[in-house]
Amino acid sequence: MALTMKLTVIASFLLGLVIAFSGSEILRVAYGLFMFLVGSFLISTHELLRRQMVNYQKDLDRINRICDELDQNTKIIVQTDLELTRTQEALDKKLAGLFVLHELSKKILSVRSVVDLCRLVTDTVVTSFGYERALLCILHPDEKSRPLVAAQAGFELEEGKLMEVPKLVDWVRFPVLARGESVFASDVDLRSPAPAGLTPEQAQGEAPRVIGVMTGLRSYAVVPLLLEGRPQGFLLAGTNPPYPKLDDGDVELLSILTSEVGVAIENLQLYEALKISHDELEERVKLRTAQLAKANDELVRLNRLKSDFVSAVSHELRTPLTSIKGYTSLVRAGKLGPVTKEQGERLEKINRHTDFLTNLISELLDIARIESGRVGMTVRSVELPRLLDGVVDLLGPQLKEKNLTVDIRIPAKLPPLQADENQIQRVFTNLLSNAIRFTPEKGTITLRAAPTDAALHMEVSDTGIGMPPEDVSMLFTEFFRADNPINRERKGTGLGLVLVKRIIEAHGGRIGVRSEVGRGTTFSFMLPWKPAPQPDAQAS
Amino acid sequence: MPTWVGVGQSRQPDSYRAGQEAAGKALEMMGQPHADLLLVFASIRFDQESLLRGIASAAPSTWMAGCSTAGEILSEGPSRRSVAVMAIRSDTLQVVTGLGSRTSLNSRLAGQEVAGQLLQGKIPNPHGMLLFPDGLTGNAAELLRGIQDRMGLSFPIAGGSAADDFSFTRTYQYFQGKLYSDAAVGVLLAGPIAVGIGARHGWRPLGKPRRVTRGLANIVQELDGHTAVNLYETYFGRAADSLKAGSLADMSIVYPLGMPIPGEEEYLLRNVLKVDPATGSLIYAGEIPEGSEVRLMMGSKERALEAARKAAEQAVLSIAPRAPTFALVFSSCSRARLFGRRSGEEIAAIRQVLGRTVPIIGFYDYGEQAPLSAAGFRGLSYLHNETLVVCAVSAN
Repeated sequence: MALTMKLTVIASFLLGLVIAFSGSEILRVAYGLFMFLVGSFLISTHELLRRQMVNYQKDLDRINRICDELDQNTKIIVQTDLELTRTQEALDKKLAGLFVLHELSKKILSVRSVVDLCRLVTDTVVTSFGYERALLCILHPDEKSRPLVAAQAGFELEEGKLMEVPKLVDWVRFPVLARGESVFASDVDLRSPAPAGLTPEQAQGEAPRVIGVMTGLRSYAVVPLLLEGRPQGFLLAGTNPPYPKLDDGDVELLSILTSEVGVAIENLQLYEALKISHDELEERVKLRTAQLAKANDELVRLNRLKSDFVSAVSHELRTPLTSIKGYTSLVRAGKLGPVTKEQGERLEKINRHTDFLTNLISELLDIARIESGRVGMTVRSVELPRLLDGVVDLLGPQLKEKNLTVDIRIPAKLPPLQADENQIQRVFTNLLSNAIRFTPEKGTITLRAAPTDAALHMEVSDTGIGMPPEDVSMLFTEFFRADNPINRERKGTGLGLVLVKRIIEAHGGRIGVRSEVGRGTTFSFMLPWKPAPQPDAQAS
Repeated sequence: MPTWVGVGQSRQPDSYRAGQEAAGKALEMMGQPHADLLLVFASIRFDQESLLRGIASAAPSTWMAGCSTAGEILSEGPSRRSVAVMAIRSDTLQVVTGLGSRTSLNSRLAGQEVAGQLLQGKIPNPHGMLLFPDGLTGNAAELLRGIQDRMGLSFPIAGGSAADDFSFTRTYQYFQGKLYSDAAVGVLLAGPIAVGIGARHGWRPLGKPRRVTRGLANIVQELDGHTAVNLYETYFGRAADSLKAGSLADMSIVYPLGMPIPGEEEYLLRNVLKVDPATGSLIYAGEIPEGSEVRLMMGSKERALEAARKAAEQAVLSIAPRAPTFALVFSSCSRARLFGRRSGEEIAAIRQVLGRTVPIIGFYDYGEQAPLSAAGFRGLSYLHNETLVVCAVSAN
């Protein structure tokens, strides 16, 4: 546009010159007209341009306004984002702390000693929690200034001076250990020296600074470690610039950590105590078991010695007794001269007592033999009804004498019992004679047998005088005799029931007794069924 | 012609033992008694001298390079307050390391010094270089220019600037077992190998474009005629009052400035390192020339994750059909802040693209070096911020 206008102006000027010098009236008029046209064209163009410029300016203003508005929105966005970022960072820090705490508590589970635990904690505080240095102290329960366990991490050994832990404990004691409070310092001036000549008690206000100087930490926190509810130690953790100073969140985190550590230490101490007492107990049980085993061996040996002794003595006694009995009979029969009535009575007494002694010795011998296992049972099929009939027949005179009824209740088809017939006969003889002895006249003695799948259960009950419980419990003891008028009147060996018990036990059975004074006594025993011995086995 | 690679890490509280443990593990995994190259990235929580002595005691190596970090990166994911060591021995890959010192004095000269040392060996077939400059001193863009003066404009450079766990006080560079500050360490990768580099960030521009009206190198004094710090104060609103000068830089790290680059898909980003409380100037991790048009940028986790995946794809694609033998990852410290606890996802995404068995080492840094991908720049390496750089090396 500018170029066209310039050309137009130059062309008009040249044309004007030509016309001015030419002198033609028409040309002058034409020139005037032409100039007028050009002028109005220029004016209108300028007006158009001006209007366009105004429009452009409006647009520009609008865009600028929108831009500013958008910029305002940007501020909101940035501020929101900033807020979010800060929240996220704070959250991240907390989360990271909790995560490490979680990881640590998993690791703590496998630690088995307090020293290892302390080392694990301080290492984790430095490597995972991101503190520069950490110190965990557990103090001696009696001497409060002596650390029982101390673990540290992040203190460079090359710094030359190892931190004097007992001295540090002196400064930590008052605020942390005595009052159970945390000490927290965010900006300690490390260059100023520790106050000289002042004891920690005198300069409590100085404690935070001194602790910082001693540990070389400008920002740190000391939190108490509670054991059984009392501060027994502390955890110290801190940083130096450029790492960020500790804040309330750090103290909180360290407190959570120490309380967890406290629980873990208590558990460990309990575990250690438990383990020690468990080991001690086990040791004692072992010792006692060994002692008992030894005593038992000794008892077994003594018992065998006793049995051997009894059987030897019995044997040795039997021979002279036989002679005594023989000679007594000889004298009594009058073969060595006449015997007066008084002599006869005395000889009769000697004979009776000799019989008693023989009986006693043979029973003793039998018991000893059965006990020592030297006498085997000769097992064969026993028809119980037949055996019982024999026993009742044998005792017939005594039964008749007291007018007693014997009631035998045995199932018709009882399978034969595999046992030693003579010994079983002895059992019944013994039990029945006992029953006869203690049952008053016109009483009843009942024999019962009831087979089950595993064993034959038998009972011998009477309607006799019965026994008090204290006698029942002693019944199967050697030489025991219940104290009652009948026993006082008649002599007994006190070995009969012992023998019965030994015989039944030798057959694999058991015997028991119930009794009630004035109502009667019931002996019940069982003998297990045994397979009949094979003919071959018998032959061999 | 095999290549053996091993990676080791340690979180030991004791510095010397941590170094020993990490280097020992790396050597053990590599299965070789001696390494050609050790790459070491460690937290500043360690006593740096003891740490390096620990490493040297456990793993003898011909070349050694590395730096302090704001977090370490390994195949298993990111980690903080640890030391990570990668040991490499190869029949194909040849390496040389170089050091440029006093970057704050003359960054360009320091760059030339590094490149000069790398070229001294006259190793044939150089394919690229790794660079670990101080992230707080000097002008990293100038440093790159110095290197390019010697190596050529299109020479691929991948790297991360040393960091110091967000304290922005002092960073360390490791070179041949020794400790440096205000320096730049370079590693030349040469031989019949392939090096692929991918760089992305995923940040989006936000708000009105502004012009740098007064600035010098990486210091922005005025934006649109206002004090530079005013920008963040307006955007952060009331929150800015509660954030003191120190923590303002701490927060604004997630909101960098972006410069549009012709032909490039993404903006070139610049991190705030410090706020000068006296003048209200902003000190950035990279230069922002006066007159540049800049915009405030904001990141989102989803986009940043997508960017990580794309960076890895770009790296793998540029060495195809060869498969990566090992990979280096340099991620901006601001990305660690953005992702928070989810930063593992970024590494997982990269691992998925690279292949699960490829050993990875890297760190969270204060600035990244990587080539621009737009055709107009012919592979010129640039300083980036908030960016994720994946460098895949195939040496089999």
